[in-house]
Amino acid sequence: MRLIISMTLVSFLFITPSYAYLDPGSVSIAIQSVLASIAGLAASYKLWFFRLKKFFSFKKNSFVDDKKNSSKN
Amino acid sequence: MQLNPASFRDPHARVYDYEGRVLREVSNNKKEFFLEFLDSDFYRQLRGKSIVETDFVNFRKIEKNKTSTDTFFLEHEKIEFITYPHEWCFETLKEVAIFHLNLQKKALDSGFFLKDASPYNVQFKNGKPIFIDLLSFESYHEGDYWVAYKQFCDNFLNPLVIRSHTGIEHNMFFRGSIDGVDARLTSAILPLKSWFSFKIISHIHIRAWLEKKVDSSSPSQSISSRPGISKKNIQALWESLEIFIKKLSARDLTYWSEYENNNSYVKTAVQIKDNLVRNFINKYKPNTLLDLGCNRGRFCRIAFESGASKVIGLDIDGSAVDKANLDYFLRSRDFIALQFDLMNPSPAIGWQNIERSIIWDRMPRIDTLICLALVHHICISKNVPLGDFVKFLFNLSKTILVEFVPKTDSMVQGLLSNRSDIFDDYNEENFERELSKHGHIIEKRNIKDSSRTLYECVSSNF
Repeated sequence: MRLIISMTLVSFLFITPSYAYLDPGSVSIAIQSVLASIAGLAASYKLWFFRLKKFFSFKKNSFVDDKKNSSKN
Repeated sequence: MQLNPASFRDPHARVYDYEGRVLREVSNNKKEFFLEFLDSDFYRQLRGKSIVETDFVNFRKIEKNKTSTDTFFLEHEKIEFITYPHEWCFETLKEVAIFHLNLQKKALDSGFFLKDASPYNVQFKNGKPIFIDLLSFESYHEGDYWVAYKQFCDNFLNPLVIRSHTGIEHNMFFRGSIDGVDARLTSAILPLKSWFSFKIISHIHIRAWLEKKVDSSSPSQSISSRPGISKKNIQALWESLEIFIKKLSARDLTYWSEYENNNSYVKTAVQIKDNLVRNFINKYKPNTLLDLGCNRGRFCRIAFESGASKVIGLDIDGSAVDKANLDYFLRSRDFIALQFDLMNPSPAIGWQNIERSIIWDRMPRIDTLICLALVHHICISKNVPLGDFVKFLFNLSKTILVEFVPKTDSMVQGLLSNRSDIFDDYNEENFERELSKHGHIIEKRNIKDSSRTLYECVSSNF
């Protein structure tokens, strides 16, 4: 994720005056495209991270539960 | 039928004031959309709560031969008191920004899109934000850009970030510019530490830097020829903006926001004053009460407890107004507190100086006015003649409760400590004479354990 953000920021630094045809509205359109992509990626990343965490905590819990049940028996 | 002077930006619609009703004349090519929109679950769920109640109306039956057949009419519910962002405090602007983002999210889920992000489109009804401009809604098509992104940043994000990082209030910006604060100005104002925030760099500094490179004389690429933006990404962008805005805070505490703890009153005098105000409001049970110099809303609370239906608070101090607006008791009632300088009230701004009107033209009819501990700030700090101040009060409301603070009071002595006393007329006798010129004094009560006096008056100007 940090790599994506860093690459995006670096890409802004290399923008040359060839962007000079842009009007202020176009600047906003260009920027929101990049920022929305970053936000979208961050949201997906969070979602997958959350699922992964849930998956492992489930495994861990079920392992603990199994242990508890076996000790009861 | 009077055209609303702010209704000219959209060529497809005009808003009219017709005998106190709010009518909107809309081009027929929008009829199909509004039939669908007003019948949608999205609108039905938010109708009257987050979006103004709106219905089709056959206006031609009321006023024949006056309008074109190429149009149809909508009638909106009337919002009693229209307020502007230069009168809102930090927390109110923040609340409207979050409300706007949430409304957009709900709209997008139902296939609608907001084409603008103007703070003037959000007003307050029973203390809650409500969206008033239905013409801002359009159908959403996959890939649509958020065309209001720049407008959202200029009107919400930039002023909130400036306040949060520098302490500079947004009100003066909005008075000077009807379009908010642009990225270049924001970037120039923000301190060095703002360059350590990814959100500020991306939404403000980089945008400012790119806008400097703009050559508006050259043709730009049209939106339709661009690749578009996915729904999922646009929702994620709004989500991230909402999280960022929620974290912004005004932080600073001013002298006036802590005034309730720092005033010259002893505890018994405070209780006596509270009871006098309570009795006064109980007696008149006003529909709409105005509290001039409301501070954190102590007397607004008492007003509601004593039978007032609607309370408007005005105060010069933004932090105190913020505290009043955040008060849970007040928030759950028909209450709004605005940041307001009596010495320089909201001017008329915008196109031809009539697009956004002065505050007094928008203010609903005030039944009762309370003006406590204010006279010395206006007549001594600001040199307004005592007679002019009394005349002003008596033109605002029929019933008035006003407090006189004499020169012997420690607060007035503080005001006079570094200047010569040129206020020979500032005394109780002259104050009473002025009150009697414009109305009648019903009751005069000295506040025990204090040098101050409360006057219950009725104005002759109504």
